[in-house]
Amino acid sequence: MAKAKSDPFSLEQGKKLMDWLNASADFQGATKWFDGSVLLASDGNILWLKVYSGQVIDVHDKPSPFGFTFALKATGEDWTRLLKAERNELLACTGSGKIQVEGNQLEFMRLTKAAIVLVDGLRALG
Amino acid sequence: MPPITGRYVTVQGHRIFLDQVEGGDRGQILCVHTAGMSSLEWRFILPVLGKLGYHMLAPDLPGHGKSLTHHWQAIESIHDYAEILCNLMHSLGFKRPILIGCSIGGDIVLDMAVNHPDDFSAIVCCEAGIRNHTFSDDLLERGREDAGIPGFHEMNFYRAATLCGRSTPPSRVQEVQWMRRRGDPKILIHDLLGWNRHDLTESIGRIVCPTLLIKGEDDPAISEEMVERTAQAIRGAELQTLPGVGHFPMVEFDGFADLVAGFLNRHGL
Repeated sequence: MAKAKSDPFSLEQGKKLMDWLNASADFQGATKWFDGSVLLASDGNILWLKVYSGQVIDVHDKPSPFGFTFALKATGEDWTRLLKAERNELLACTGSGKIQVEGNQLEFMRLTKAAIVLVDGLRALG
Repeated sequence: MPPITGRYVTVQGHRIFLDQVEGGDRGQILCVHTAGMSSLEWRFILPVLGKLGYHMLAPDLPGHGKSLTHHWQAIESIHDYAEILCNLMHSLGFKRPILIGCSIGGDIVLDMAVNHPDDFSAIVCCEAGIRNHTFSDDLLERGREDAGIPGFHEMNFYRAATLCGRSTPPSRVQEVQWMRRRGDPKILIHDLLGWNRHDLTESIGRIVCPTLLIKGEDDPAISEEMVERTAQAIRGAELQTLPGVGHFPMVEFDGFADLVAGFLNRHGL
């Protein structure tokens, strides 16, 4: 079944997310020294974002053969709760395991600010 | 020894913590700490000079130690820090205090004395000078974002040991390292940006009060030449080089307070 266009992990929303992040000074600053990719997964739906030197330069709705630097994975229900919450509770979710961080844990830590801004973007577009 | 006590004051909206020793009315001394650190650096000095009758004050600069900044942003201007401290002195009713500063604290006391030449009885400037652009601009600019300098905190912990001199007791080296580790890396980055940009070349001649420059011989953070140039540019300045001592003479060298007291005595202070 095709994803609803308003689904935060649809390709259409992914492209809007790319534009939102690329307009964010916080995201640009936080990812200025990053050459990697971030995978977002929700109940099997996937967004893969390629990030280089402060910009999202590509987005896909399927896994990339390049893999990912780190991934944030959760159930649709937990993502919805995060995106609709009063404030961005990403770190509480990763801390409690509601959102699983996979891949390079060290890079995730280094890119903490970027991950938070990424979720800000999802929340803003949600 | 007289005890060190602490209190808070608000200056230009910044909530400033002060360590103090109410030694007496021989004179008032303000001590300014190094980049990324706090008033803890002066804990060996405050009681000794306080016992000699000086009223001692060591603030945590805004954003350091227990001091807050009112706008939640790091300050990266030596002159801005200097003006905050001048306002602090004024608000406390200090009359022509003596200033002692080390590293950015040294730059700050030079800036205070340049811009308010009649307001201070004497200055002691350690490990600093007219201009000390000694760090990589690329590294510091990258450091505006934590992601640009991973491991910076740990790097600073190990670097702190190499900033100390060959003769520094191991316990004092550990104390310097521990103080470094507990500071905010972002605050340190902004302090070093200020250090790099500090330049009193055109105005240093305005300093008229008795001046003592102190240089740890083993301090890699500033060269002998930079400090000598500063001494030559300030009328009547004295220069004391300390063999075996590094970037933190007030922590590393037990004779520091006596050295300062001797200088003040020579000038009737």
